[in-house]
Amino acid sequence: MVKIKKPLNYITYSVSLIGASPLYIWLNLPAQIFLPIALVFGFYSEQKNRYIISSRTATVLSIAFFLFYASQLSLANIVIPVVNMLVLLLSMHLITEKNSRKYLQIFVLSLFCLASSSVFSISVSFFPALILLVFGVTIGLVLLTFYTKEPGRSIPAPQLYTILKTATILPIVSLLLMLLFFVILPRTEHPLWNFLNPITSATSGFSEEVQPGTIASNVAVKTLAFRAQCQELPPEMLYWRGTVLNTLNNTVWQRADFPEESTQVLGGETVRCTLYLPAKNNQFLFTLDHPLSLSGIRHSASSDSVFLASHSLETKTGFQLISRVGGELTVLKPVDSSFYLKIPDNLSPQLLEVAEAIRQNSYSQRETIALLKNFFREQNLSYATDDLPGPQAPIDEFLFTKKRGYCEFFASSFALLLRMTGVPSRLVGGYLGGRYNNLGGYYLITEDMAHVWVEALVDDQWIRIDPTKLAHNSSATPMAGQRPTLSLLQRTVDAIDYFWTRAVITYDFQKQISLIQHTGKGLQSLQRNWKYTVKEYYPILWIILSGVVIWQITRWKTTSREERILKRYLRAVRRRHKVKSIPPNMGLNELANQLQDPVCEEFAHIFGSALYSEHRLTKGEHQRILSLIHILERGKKPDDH
Amino acid sequence: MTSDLAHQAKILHFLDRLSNHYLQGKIRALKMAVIALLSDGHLLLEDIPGLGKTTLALALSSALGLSFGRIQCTSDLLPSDITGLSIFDRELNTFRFIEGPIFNHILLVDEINRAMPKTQSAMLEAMEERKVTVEGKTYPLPEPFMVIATQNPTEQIGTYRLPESQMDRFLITTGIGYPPEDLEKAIIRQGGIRKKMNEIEPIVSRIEIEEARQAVSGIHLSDKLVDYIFKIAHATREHPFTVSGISTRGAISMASAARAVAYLENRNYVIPEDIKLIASPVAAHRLIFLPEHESLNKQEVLQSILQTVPVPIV
Repeated sequence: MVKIKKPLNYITYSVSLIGASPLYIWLNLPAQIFLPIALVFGFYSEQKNRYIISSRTATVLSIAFFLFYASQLSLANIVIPVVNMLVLLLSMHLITEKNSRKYLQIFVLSLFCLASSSVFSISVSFFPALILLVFGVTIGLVLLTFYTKEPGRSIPAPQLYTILKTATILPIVSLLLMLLFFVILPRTEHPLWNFLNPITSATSGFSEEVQPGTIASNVAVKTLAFRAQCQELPPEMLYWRGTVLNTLNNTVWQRADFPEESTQVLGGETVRCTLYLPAKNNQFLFTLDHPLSLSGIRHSASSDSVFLASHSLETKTGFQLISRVGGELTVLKPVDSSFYLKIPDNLSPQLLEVAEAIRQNSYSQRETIALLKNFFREQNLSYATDDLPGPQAPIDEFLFTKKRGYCEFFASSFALLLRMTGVPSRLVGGYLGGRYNNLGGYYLITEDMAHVWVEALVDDQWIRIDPTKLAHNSSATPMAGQRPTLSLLQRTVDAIDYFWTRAVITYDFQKQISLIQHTGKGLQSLQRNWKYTVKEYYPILWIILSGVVIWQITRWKTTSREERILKRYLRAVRRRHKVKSIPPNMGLNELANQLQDPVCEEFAHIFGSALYSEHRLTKGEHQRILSLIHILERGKKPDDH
Repeated sequence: MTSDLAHQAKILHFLDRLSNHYLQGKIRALKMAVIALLSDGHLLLEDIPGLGKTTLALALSSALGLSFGRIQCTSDLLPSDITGLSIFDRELNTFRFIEGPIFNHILLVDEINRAMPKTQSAMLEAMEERKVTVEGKTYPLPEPFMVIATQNPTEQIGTYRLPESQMDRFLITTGIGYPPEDLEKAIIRQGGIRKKMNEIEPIVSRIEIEEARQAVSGIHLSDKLVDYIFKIAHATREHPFTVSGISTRGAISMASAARAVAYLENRNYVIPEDIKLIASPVAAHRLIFLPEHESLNKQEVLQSILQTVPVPIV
C-alpha cells in the first residue's frame, strides 16, 4: 500500500524544481535564498508531517512580499518584480502544509515560472523542461484527483503503477497533438481554409493606377478601407495619402521611378494617429496628409511621402503615424521638373488650344492654376458616377462633350492641363474624409471614400489642388464631407470590431499599463469625493438600514425559540468542529455520535427529548442548553483536551 | 430520564445475557428479533445455512420461556402439516383436532422458500390473522406469536421465492452474517452451542413480554416523525428505480419498530435515529424494483433514499 500523498509530493517538488530552476539565475537574492530552502524544508516537512511555518504566517508573509514587489512595479521594471513574486509565492506554498488547492496552485506557479524564464532567455533547456513539466503536471493532476477525493488514501502499489501508466498516456498524446496543431498548422502562410478563396484586390475604391474612361459607371462599395484613431479634425483636412502617380502613359497615370527629391513638411498642426488596416494584398500604408513619420511596422518611405510596407499586408496590422495637417510639402533642392512635365504626343487639338490660351494669358504658375480653375468652372462640369466618358478620348469627352465624371476625370484632366501649361504636377491617390465614431474615438474610412487629387509644384512647394471641388455640383458630392452618419447600431458593431482588432490583433502592452494606472487614479479621485457624495446617499442608506431591521424583526418573530436555539447550536458546532456543513439527513444524536463530543450528546439528549416528546423546554433545560452552546462557542479546540 | 417503561431493564438484561453467553456475534440479529417480538411482528432471516439462524430462534424461545415449534419446509409440505388436522377418535367416536406446529409461541420456519406457494400462503395467512381455520372451525393462535422464517438467498433451484406481497407480512428482514474473526475461531475451537441451549433459563416471562409490548405501543411518536416516516415512504414510491415503494403497512411497521427501538434505548419517545436504524431492515425488502434494476441491492437503495430525506430537527 502506498499513500497517495507520497508520489504526489515527489511529483509536486520535481515540478517546482523543473519550473523554477531555469529562472534561478535571474532572481533577486532573497528569492534565490528562499527557493532552495523552501524546496528542501518543504520536502522534509512533508516526510515528517511537521511544518515550520503555519499557513497563517505564510499568508501574511505572502501578502508582504506581494506588496513589496507590487510597489516596485512600473512600466520600465515589470518583469523582475513579477518573477520574484512568482517564485516567492511558489516557495511559500512549498514550505507550508498543502491541501489540494495548494497543490494545484503549485503546478500553476511552476508553469508560470518556466514560462517567464523565456522572457529572459530561451536556452536549449527550455524545451525539455517544458516537456518534463507537462508530464509532471498531468500525472500530478491525476494523482491530485485521487487526493482531493480522500486525502489520507492509500492504494496498492500495482494499482498506483497502473494509474501512473495511464496518466503518462495523456501528456504523450497531447504532446503529439501539440506537435500537429502548434507546429505544423501555423507554418502555412494563410489560414488553412483561405486557399479556397484568395484575397483579391478591391475592384473599386483605391487602385494603383488611374485610367479614366475604362468603366462606364463606378459603383463604390462601403467596405472597410481602414480605421484611424485620432482626434476629430475638420473634414476638409482629411486627405489620406496612399500613392503618388507621377507618369502619364497615354491616358494611364502610373507610378514610376522619379528623380530623387529632398522634401520637408513645414507648418501645419501635428496630429498623432494610429491606423488599423484590414488584411489586403497590397503594401500601401495610408497616411494623413502630410505625413512626417511612421512607426510600428517595417516599411520603406519615398521622398514623395509614399509609404510602403516591407511585406504584403495579409493580416490585420496597425501602425502609428505623425502628420502635419495643413502643412506644406516643401522641396529643399531644385527638382528635375521636366519629369513632371512629360505629356503624351497624341493630344487633341481642342485640348492644345485650351492649354495655349491659358499659357498666353498667364505670367506666373500660380496664375496659370487660377486660370485653369476658372476654365474648369466655366465648363460647368458635374460630378457623376454613371454615364461616364468612354475609353477613346476620355479627357476630351469629359471636358468638352459629356462634361461629367468622378474624381479620376477631374484630377487627371487637371493634371494633364497643368503639365501642358508648364506647371509640374502629379496625381495623389488615397481617400478623402471619414466617418468619426465617437464611441471608439476613431475615423472609419470605407472604400467609397477613395479619391484622387492633384499636386502641383509651385515655388518649390507641392500644392494640393482638388479639382473635383470645381464641379458645379461639388457641394452635393460625397466628397464635400456631407456623408450620411452611421446609425448607432452600425457604430457600435464597428466599434466592437475595432476594439477587438486593437486589443487582440495588435496587442498593445503600453495601453494595458496606462489602463491600470488610469483605473488607480479613478479610484483615488473616488475616495476624495467620498465625503461629498455620502450625504446624497443618506436617504437610500436609511431605507436600506430600516429594511434590514424590519427583515430581522420579522425573522425573529416568525422563528420559534427552538429554531433559534438550534440555529445557534449548529453554527457553534460547525465552528468548533470545523465542519463545513451539516447534512440535512443527519439527526442530532447521529451528529453528536459522529463528533464524539459529550457536550453535543447532552444537547441532543435534552433538545431531542423536548422536540420529539413534544413538550416545551423547561426553564432548567433551557438554561442548560444555553450553557452547553456557550461551552461550544467559547470552548477550546477539541484536540486540546 | 424516564425509566417507567415496563420491564425495560429486564429485557435489556435478557439481550445482554443472550448475546454475551450464547449468541456471540449475533447481537444485531438478536436485537432485530427482539424488536420484532416487541412490536408484534415476524422476522425473516435471509442468509446462507450454517450461520446460526436456528440457534438464534432456539435460544430466543428458551430464554423467553415460550413454546417453540419448528417446520422444515420441503416441496411436498402440505398446509395441514403446519396447521394440524382432525383425526377420527375411535374411542370417542368423533373427530379430534391435532394441533400442528403453528400452535406455538415461536415458530421457526426453516427454508420457507422451499415450500409450495399453497403451503406458504396458508402459513402467511395464519401469521397475519393470528388464527387457523380447519374444517370450518377456527382456532386462535397463542399470544405472543412470532414466526422466525429463514430463507437461503443463494440457492434458487427447486425453490418458490416468496412473492413481494408475502414479504410485506414480515416486519423485519435481516441477515446474520459471519461472526467476527476471533469469535469464529473460538466457535470453531469449542464447537457449536446446541448443547448449552438446554441449560438456558427463562429470563423473561410471557406476562412480562405482554406488558413490555403494551409499554412499546404507548411510546410517543411525534407528528414530526410521522411526517418523516411518510416522507421516507413517499420518497421510495417516487424513486425512479421502484415499481412500488413502501406500502402503508410498511410505514406502520416502521413506526412500531421504531417504538421498539426507543423502548430498548429506554426512551418514552421516538427520535429520528430510531427510524433510520430500523428503516432498512423493516422497509428494504418491501421495495419492488423495475425489471432493469432488479439486480440492485435493496438495502443500499433504501439507504440512498434515506440520505435524501431531511431529518426533522426543529
